[in-house]
Amino acid sequence: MSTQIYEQHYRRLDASIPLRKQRWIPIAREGLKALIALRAYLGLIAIAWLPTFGRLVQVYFITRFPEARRIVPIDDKFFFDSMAFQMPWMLLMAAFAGSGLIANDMRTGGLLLYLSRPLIIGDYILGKVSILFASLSMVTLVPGLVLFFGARSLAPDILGEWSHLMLIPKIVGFALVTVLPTIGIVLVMSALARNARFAGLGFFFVFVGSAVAQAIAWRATRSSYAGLISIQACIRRVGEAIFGLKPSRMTAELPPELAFAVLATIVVVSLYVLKTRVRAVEIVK
Amino acid sequence: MTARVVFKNASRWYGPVMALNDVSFELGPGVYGLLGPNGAGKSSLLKLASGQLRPSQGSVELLGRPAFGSPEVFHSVGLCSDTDALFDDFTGLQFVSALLSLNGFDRAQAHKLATEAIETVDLKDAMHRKVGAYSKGMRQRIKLAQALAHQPEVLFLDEPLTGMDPQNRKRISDLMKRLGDEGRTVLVSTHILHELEQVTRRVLLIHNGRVLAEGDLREIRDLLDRHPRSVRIKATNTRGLARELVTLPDLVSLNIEDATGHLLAEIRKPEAFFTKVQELSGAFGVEEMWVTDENLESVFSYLVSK
Repeated sequence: MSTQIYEQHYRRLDASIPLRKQRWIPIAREGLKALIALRAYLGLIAIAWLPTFGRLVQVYFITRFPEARRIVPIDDKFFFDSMAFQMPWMLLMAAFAGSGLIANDMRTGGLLLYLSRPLIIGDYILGKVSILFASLSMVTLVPGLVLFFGARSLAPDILGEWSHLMLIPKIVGFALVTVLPTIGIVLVMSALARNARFAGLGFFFVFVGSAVAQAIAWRATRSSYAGLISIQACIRRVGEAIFGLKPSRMTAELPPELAFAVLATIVVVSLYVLKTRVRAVEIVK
Repeated sequence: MTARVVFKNASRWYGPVMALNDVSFELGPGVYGLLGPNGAGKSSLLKLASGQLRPSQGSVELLGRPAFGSPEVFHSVGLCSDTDALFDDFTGLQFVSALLSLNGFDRAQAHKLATEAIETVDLKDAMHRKVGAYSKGMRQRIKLAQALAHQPEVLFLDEPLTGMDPQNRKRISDLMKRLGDEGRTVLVSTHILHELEQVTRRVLLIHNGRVLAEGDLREIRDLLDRHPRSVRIKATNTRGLARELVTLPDLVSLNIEDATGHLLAEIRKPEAFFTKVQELSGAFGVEEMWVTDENLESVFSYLVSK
């Protein structure tokens, strides 16, 4: 059947304007703007920074009372512990900032607003990842780096050597290992749940549930490999390896490479799920 | 000669459900109406046309490229969807500017184009208010503004007049007409005949996923005029309005619904009725007016049976 329903003659348009680069940036920018407008978001960041300021005060006292160095040495473990302490804040931030990022767009059909623009689903996902990356970095990576540079300026005699600069890649590496799988899980929950609250609950369930499962499995088997069940244990084990620290008791025998493989798998699977799940149009079967 | 929107034997099904069945047509510049009752396949057709869905069979081309998987065409395409999803925490200006930034416009350009588009849909006074506080009609208009703002060649408008008061319906209808006159291709989906009548005479009539009729709206309308249509009106002074309308010659019945206070009218020749309501809308506070779907459904059934 052919139904020609126009009469006018006109010039053919071939839509030849190419896609521009970095199409995800406006999505990230507008998403961050919307978050920054929320007092709760800023409040959460402020609270998450308190432990870092506490650590800086600690460093200050150590410079005043050198004998305190014996009790709290400023070494790799100091920075690892400080960053590991940020984990609960990071989880809260991920749930707050991330659980609605895709769920709200999918529930309301807001995805159409994005995908009726010259960009692809990958740009949309990258934009959302960037929003979370910036938010989670504000409570992990940035406090870690601020602590390092703050401590270095307060205690140049302890951290002033060039070799101490190696702490920077360690801090960056541990922050990435912490943040990237977390982003993957919270965005997958957001895409699957289509409801921000359920996504947040699902996210906590995965993190807390996997830790509980690890504890139960460890009690039953006394095997360090039970740590592979827990996302937090894997993050911690890789972090310990990055900072060159002795592993904790429950993951003493767990190879960090294996823990890293688990985290990398989470990231890859998350991206795959997001790519297949995120659609502008709901397909009802 | 080539067209901007080309459907070639396009079908789309969701599992066992056939949403669109072997549809072929071509659209050039001008305004086209896509008319059909709820569930007819209008939204599926628009989503196929705008590249949001891949056809299960056949092909859909937009500006010379396959509509699905060619995001670059959206430099020249605007979509006003039927969803009510907006960025409620943004002001109207921020909302349109933010979406323009996705098209690659820098901040200054986006601000300028957004302001122009908002003025076009007559929302300038409200552009610094949050979208979340907009009325339904204002939300429709800001959605239209974001679809127009980057001055696209092709516009897909899904039920653009829903929830608007008579004055704004007229204003937006005039705007659509103007866009068509400028040489843009505008495909407007609606289930209200009268809305289309103010904008275009070229229509695609769709029912059960098939293009049932195409061509001149007046011919189709003549068929429909044999059937009275139900109109629902929401106004602040319903009784006063009823007193004025009751004398119209083609009125079949007039009632005030107890539960909602809406005025329900059955009319045979709606043109004079709509004109009269429009004249009286200011005096009696007419907020919304729409043709109820059930009746249109029966009209389609009538057409199907012919």
